[in-house]
Order: sequence, then structure tokens, then C-alpha cells
Amino acid sequence: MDVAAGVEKLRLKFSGAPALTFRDLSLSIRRGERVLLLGPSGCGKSTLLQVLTGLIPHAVEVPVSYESIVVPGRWGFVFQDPDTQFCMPFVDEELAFVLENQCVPRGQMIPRIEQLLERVGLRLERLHMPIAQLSQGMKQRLAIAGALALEPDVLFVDEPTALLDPEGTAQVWEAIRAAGEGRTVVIVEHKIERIVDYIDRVVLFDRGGGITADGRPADVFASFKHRLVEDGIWYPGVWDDYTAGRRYSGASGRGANRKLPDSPETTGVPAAGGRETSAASAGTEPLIRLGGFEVYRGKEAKLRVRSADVRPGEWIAVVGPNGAGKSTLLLGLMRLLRTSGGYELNGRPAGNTRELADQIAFVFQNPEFQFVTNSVYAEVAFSLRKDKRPESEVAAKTEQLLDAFELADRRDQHPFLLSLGQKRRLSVASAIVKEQRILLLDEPTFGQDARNTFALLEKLEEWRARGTAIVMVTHDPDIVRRFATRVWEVEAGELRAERSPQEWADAVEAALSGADSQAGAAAPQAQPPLAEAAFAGAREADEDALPEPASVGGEPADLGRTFAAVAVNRRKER
Amino acid sequence: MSKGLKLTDILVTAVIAIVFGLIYRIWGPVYDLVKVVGLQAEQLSYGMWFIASTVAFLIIRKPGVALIAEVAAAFFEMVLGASYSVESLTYGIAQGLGAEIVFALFAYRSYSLAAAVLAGIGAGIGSLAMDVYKGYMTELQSWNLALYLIFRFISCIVITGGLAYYLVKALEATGVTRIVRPVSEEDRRSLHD
Repeated sequence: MDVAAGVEKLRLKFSGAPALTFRDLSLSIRRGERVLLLGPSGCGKSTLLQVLTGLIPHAVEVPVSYESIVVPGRWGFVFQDPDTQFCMPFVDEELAFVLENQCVPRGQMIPRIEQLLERVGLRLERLHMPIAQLSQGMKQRLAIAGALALEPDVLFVDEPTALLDPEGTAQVWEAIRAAGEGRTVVIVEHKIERIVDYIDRVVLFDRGGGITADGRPADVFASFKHRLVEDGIWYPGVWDDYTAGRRYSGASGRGANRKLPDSPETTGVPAAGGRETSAASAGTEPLIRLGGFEVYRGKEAKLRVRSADVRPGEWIAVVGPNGAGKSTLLLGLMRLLRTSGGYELNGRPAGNTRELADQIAFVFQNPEFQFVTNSVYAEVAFSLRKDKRPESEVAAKTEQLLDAFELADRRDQHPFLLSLGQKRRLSVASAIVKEQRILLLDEPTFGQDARNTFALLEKLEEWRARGTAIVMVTHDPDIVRRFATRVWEVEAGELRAERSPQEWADAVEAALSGADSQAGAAAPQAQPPLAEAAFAGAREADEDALPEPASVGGEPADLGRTFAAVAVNRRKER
Repeated sequence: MSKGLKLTDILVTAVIAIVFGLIYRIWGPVYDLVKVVGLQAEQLSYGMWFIASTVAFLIIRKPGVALIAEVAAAFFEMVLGASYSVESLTYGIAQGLGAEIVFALFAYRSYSLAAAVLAGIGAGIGSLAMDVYKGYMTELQSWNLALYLIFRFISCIVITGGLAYYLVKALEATGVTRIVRPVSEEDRRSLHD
């Protein structure tokens, strides 16, 4: 057996951690394999990759011991965050830096760089382009090109699409497939829809850093479907399972009979399957009314809204291409950016940010930007304390929120020490503490795993059903399709509200699938999909297969169905 | 794990030095402004110019870090156009050496408030050594000199020692320092529990 990378009896413990991350773990990866490491967040998968490459302990000092280790002679690593992987400001300089370290003669560099960029599908007008001007998906592809430049035997990728939108995700996986040809590839990922047909081995980890399963994708997914749900993995069909599950339909008495409120301002009331908004909403006064509204960044008007309104019980998805002005719209609604034009809140002209904060809650895209205190409790209590409420009231409200958001056992912890999902919950909890009637969220599900995403969406739906209006920026057509009552499309600084959630989601998914077939992804689709059977069987599965976040276990999927089409194909057929 | 400086250590030190280099540059005008009060009051603010050495060492805890951080920060201050020009750098070297020597005397094992304070004083002594040659210290009347020295040392204790220590303590609460610190024997042993 030709081992490309591996370790025997690995023990690892971070300083100050309560327990060993790995206890006598052994894993070996054969040459040419395409391995996927799966498991709950925080179980150590990324750490394991760093051990297999020697980054731990040589670059990062962590106590580690093992019986034997095989570190590949040449390896490349692609990390999760597109913004922190580069040391040079320009594309050509970045790749030249790698080549320089390989002692490539100067004359050969430009052709090599062009070749590498071609390989990962990055077509730029000129090579000397600032990296900051690239989109996140392009940056990740550049990172892959950089790893390729090292001519690695083994390519390690650590959640490369966690911080990318659906389009970026598709592009990056294409680039990785191209880069991985003829190499061993080790992947850690949570969004596995696009790679289930690419990998030939899955290693499933448990919370304690041990290996639960190790084998062919079809086998592992079939036997451990409940683990995928528990660990919040985005597997193909996860949305279908969720929609079919008990918690979604039970959440707000949804089902077939839902109606959209009458909204004369917005044209194009959606067709079938509207949503029942709270009894108060239909025909009531809008909470927010915008007319000739403009938001400025500096001197320039970056966003124009001819007319729009927000009524109680609505869930408005703000969608559009990157840079169109979606975040700008939200910041303008909060008066954090200069605005002009008609902006009425509850029938009266809107005031400044401080006055708005009593009526509107704002949640930033990066939860860390909101944290101003040193403990979870203080963070939630902050706004109330600023308002000089009596401490007993503050305590009661804070406890209630901490329980509702499952942060009670972390009350004294520093906000920055929380996991991503917990940080997100904390940011929402601390924003909604005054029970504002309008909630503005900027991509709240970004980078989150499936479980946290569903839990957050359910919570938002609870509030919506009670009359809160939600305005949420999102890229995800699945969320828009299933939760939004209206869509505001922002394109090049203009707001349009014509299409229904279903129409928009359909259009986006068609575009994505179209791009797939265009890019010649025929190969994966032509092969009989191995792993899809496990996912496909979920529809008939027991409802208990979808556990509550806190509980453990569930039942494996019923494999009544035979091997069916790839999940992507399934969407197209719908 | 070696006690030598790894690439990550140097990079983190460099980043700390850049931040403080900027602060040093801004501190020049602050110092000049406080001079208006008279009676050597500006010496109470002098300790800010050594703080990179103590903060960097308390974060990274390895030999050489204090010196490198101080020299780098002083260099950056100079490059940004400090009114002291090359003296910013030369003073920085002396100050960095002063702090480094104190930490070395503790065998680089003490990360307490006391160590930080003493290192601050060490850096202060370095700056005074430079002042004896380059400044007018020796010309001062004894009462004036006394004020000068006392305020200088108070500044070392409070700013270079105390402020640095509590700054790093606040950073530790966020957990960012865990990854840059060297591995202790205790950690290594706990692997085999």
C-alpha cells in the first residue's frame, strides 16, 4: 500500500484544553485517493490536516506525539478564508512568490502563471491585478493556483467553500477537480453536495476525535445518515429532508394554505403557495415606507429605491449580485449611512440611528463586529443596561434570551471564544433584546452549518408569525424559496420587487445548473451516482431522523429507493 | 519545541511592532503637548515609547522578542517621520536592550506584572543612558533632575509595566494568545495522561 500521508497513534492536546483532541488516532491515505473528512464542528479535522502536513508542530506549536508519521514530500494547502491566504497584493506577484521559492527562472514565470490561472479557470484581463478586486470565489481559485504552483503530491483543502456563495462554491469545486487530477486530495468540508461523486473515501469523525466510520461514500452515508443531520452537514437533499420533517411544518402552522398580504405597492403577487402572515398584517399600515429613498456612500448615491414598504409579519429577502448594494440598503435603513428621500417609520419620519434602534434591530454579517463586551451575559444585557433599566428587569430578560438561544451555559465566556454558530446566535440575541418589531439581518446564515441554519431560521419564523418584520440579505435560493414572503432584488443600486420568492429561486437555480452543464460537468453527472441513494431515501425516512439540536441520535434513512439521479439533477427535474 | 524564534513568532512580533510604531509616532506630539504643563510633566508619558517590548514579550514569551519588537517599532516610528529622526531608532535599540536584559535575568520564565514593571524600568535605564549623552540631563539643577528621573520611572512602571500587562491580560481573555505561545512541559506531559 503506497501511503501518501498518514499518522499512527496520534495524540494531540491544545494548551489549556480540557481534553485530548486526538487519542491514539491512526489514519493513512493512499496515493491517488480522494478522501473526505467529515464530522461535527470542532472535532479536529482541520487540526488533523495540519498534522499531516507538518504545519503542526513545525509552524504552529501544539503538544503532539505519535508513533510514526508520513508527511508528503510535496503538499499544497488551501484554507477556508479567502482574505487571509495571500502575502502579496497582486495576483501575479502572489504566484511569482511561490515560483520564486521553487527557484523557477524569471523568464519562465509568466508562462507558468498563465498556465496555472488557466488551470483553475481564472480568466483575468491582466495579470497585475490587485487581489482585493477579485471576488471571494476568484480569490479561492487563486489560492488553489498557488497550491498547484508547488506541484504537490497531495492537495489538502480545508473547507474552501465555507465562506462562499453558491456561485463561488461551484467555481471552486471545479477548480479543485482540475487541480486534483493525478494527485491525492484530502478534503475537509461541510457542504458536500458538489463532491459526493468526486470522492472515493469518507472518514467520519465523532465529537471526541475518534473515527466512527471509514469507507466508501455510499456505505458510510447509508449507515450514518443520522450523523450527517446531527453534524449539520449540507448533504444533497438536506433541504428536502428538512422541509419534509416535523419541525418545519410544525413551526408556524404552515402547509398548503398560506396567503400573502395585499400589497398595492409591490407588483407581482406570487402564484401558488403564499404564506400566512400574522392576522394583523393584511391591510395594516406598513412599518416602513420608502419613497424616493437614496443611500449614499461618501458623495455618491449607491442605492436608489423608488418606492417600497415593509409590513408586519413579512419576511423580505434582499437578493442580488455581489456589490449591488444589499448591505448598503440595510445600513441605510438604520441610518448608519447618509440617506435622503422619504423614509417613514410607523407613519412618522424616521429619526437618527439611536431613535431607530428602539424600533429596528440590526445584525451584522460578521458577528464579531457587534461584540462590545467581555462576556456573553454582558453582551446580551448591554442595550438594556444602556437604557438604564432596573437590574432585575435586565436579568430576567437576559436569562430568557440566553435560554432561548441555548447560550445559558456560556454566560461568562468571552464572545470571541464561542464557535461560529454560537457567535451568530449571540449576535441575534443581543440585537433583538428590545423586542423590536423590525429585524434587519445581513447574511445571517453565512458560513453556518445546516443545523444552526435551520435553528436560526425557525427562530426568525417564530418571530415573523408574531408580527415582526424581517428584512434579510441572503444568497441562498433554498432559504428564499422556503421562508421568504417577498423578494427585493437589488441590482446596480436599484431596488426591484417584481418576482416572487419561488420565481427568483427557480431562476437562480436554473442559472447555477446551466453553468454546471456549460462548464462540462457532464462527467460527474453521467456516472451513476454512488452516494445519492442514501440521501434519496431520506424522503421516506422516519420524521425522527431530524433531531432537535440538543438531542442525540435519530434513525438511519430508509433505503427503500434504488440508486437515483444526482441531487443536482433532481433539482432540475423539479 | 525549540526556544528559537519561528516564522510565526517573527511575523506576530512584526505586526505588534507596526501597531506600536504608529502609536510611537503619534506620541511625539502628545509628549510635546504635555510639555506645556512644565516641571518635567512630559516625562510621565515617556514610558509609552517602550511598551512594544513588554507587550510583545508578554504575548509571545520567547527570547529576543522584546528587543526585536522595540527596534522594529522604533524603526517604523522613524520611517513615519518622527521628529526625533534617527534618534528614534538608536534610542529604540537601547530601550529594547534594557527590557530584553531584564527578561533575560528572569531566564525568560516570568510573565508577571513584576517582570513587566522591571523590564519597563530596564528600558527606562536604557533611555536614560542615551539621554546622558544626547540630552541635557547633566545640566539640570538637582531638583529638576530629581523630578525628571522620578517621573520617568513612574512612567516606566505605570505605562510600560502596568498598561502592557493589563493589555495582554485583556487579549488573553479573547483567546487569541493561545496559538502563539510556546508549549510548556506541563502541556507535553498531559499528552500521556
